Amino acid sequence: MTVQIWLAVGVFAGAYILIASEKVSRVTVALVGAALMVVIGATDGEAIFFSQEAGIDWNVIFLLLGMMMIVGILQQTGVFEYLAIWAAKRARGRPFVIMVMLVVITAVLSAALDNVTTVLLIAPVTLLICDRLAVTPIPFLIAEVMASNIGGAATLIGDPPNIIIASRSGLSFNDFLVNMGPIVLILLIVFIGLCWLMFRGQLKYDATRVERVMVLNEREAIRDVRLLVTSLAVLVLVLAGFVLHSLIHLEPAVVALLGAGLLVLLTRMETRKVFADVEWETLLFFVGLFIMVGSLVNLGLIEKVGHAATEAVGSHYFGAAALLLGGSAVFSGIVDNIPYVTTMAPLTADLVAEGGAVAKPLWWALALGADLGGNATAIGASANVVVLGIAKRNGHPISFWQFTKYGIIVTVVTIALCLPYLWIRYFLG
Amino acid sequence: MHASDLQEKLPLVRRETTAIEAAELIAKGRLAGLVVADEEGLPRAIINSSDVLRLMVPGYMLADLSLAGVLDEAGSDEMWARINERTIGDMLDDNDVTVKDITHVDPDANLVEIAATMVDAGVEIAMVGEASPASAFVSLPAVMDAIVAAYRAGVKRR
Repeated sequence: MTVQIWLAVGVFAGAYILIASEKVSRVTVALVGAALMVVIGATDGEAIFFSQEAGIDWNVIFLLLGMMMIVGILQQTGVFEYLAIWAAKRARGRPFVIMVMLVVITAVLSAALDNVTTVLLIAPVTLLICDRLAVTPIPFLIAEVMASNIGGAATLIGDPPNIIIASRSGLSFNDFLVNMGPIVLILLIVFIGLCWLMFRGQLKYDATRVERVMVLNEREAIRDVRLLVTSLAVLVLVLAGFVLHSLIHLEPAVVALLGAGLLVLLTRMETRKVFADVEWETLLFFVGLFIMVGSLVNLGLIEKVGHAATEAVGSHYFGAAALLLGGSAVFSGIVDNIPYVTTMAPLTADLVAEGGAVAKPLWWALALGADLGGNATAIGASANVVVLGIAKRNGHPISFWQFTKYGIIVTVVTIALCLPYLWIRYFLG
Repeated sequence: MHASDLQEKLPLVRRETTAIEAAELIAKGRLAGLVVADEEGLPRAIINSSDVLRLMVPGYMLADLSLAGVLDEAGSDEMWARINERTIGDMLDDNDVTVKDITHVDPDANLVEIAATMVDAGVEIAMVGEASPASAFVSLPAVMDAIVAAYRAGVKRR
């Protein structure tokens, strides 16, 4: 290997360690790492801006941007709060029934929206309901964030790793729905059972508090009916655009941007407000990561590792899928799953290109491992960190180990269930 | 008109002052903000009255304004019954609250100088002179009164 390749590996490894340590802002690390890659000549402007394999993945950036704009408007409608309060009232204040309903709502929302937004919407209303019932909100918040990580795995747009995988693999929205949807449904049912086992001791029913929930007026949560109707209509159109990809031949990023533009036009919302909810730091983090990983692609390093992995795997693709599933779960529990999947996607693409159709399930192994591994620890996914922050600010701190002890159980069970699913669906016979 | 002409004594609060005590001070004196003193009684920070209000509303209501209307009257009253659980110290430790350092104006600072300094620092209270347990302050209502008086005097002269 040349000095340049060693330097590039050094920059990449150093950036990874710094991101995992969380001592420095991850955006700063990714952008400084990208700049260093340019300085050492591992990449250049042409590759960064115009190369599909070694540059910034604009599909991912613009899909995220479009969805962030849509969600930013949608979250002002109050519809999620309405749903949560309605569910709590239907459950007549019984804590476990409320938990199940909130888990299902969160999982379904997470499939259509990103996980961080979903938990930001569901956590405050959960705190209100628990406050009214005088029960601790901690089990509810932990269950919801885990449901969001599980539910988000079902679709192309539900979890950032899926967006990266879709862009690198060419897999469509429907491919995700058909291949990930069934296992996510099974996992959700099992997860509800796990919630009963893990949290039942903390869910005390107090009949005298039920009336306090029943008097909540969910209709007051919806402040602008016109905005609600318009936003939901556009969201349905966007989801239809994703599903009908094979007919309309529009990339998901284009569909999301068209939807965002239409929503801005129809709601006549000020652009300042529309862009206020866009997570620019996240988008820049992606940009930095794509440049860093693209540099390794540019230098031929990813191709070399891909060849070595292909030789090691041989024709044992189920073994490779199992390793990818388990390894991704462990890795995603320790570091952010976004840099992990950004690095693994080109490697997996090499393996699938060499192996053909029989190797394609490796994509699902990577997606399931990375998405579900986020549940393992308190820092495994961005949504976990966000919920822990909300809990602390509202006087219900959740410690790292308090979360992780449940996270490890849920991750082990869900990953263990994915293994037979992959085997039966793709490798049996 | 100089800062020394507009200065007034303001009540000092400490970390352990409860939200309800702070609210009583603001309501009684119609104050734009409060001065927080350290253990030696020296003024150290300024907090706006609206931030004291933030201390009283549950965090989840502030995170999601859609929830503010779903409570009935009894539920709303129940919320206020618990405001004494929080203190000024909680607010000083809260990253969402902008606690401002003390802004100084000289005793001989003129009205424009006082106004410009307060706008630049984004504060509604400024300290006149150096910090001491007996410090005096100029606050926004006094500055506004002086500006209105100066304007009216100018109109009369013309």
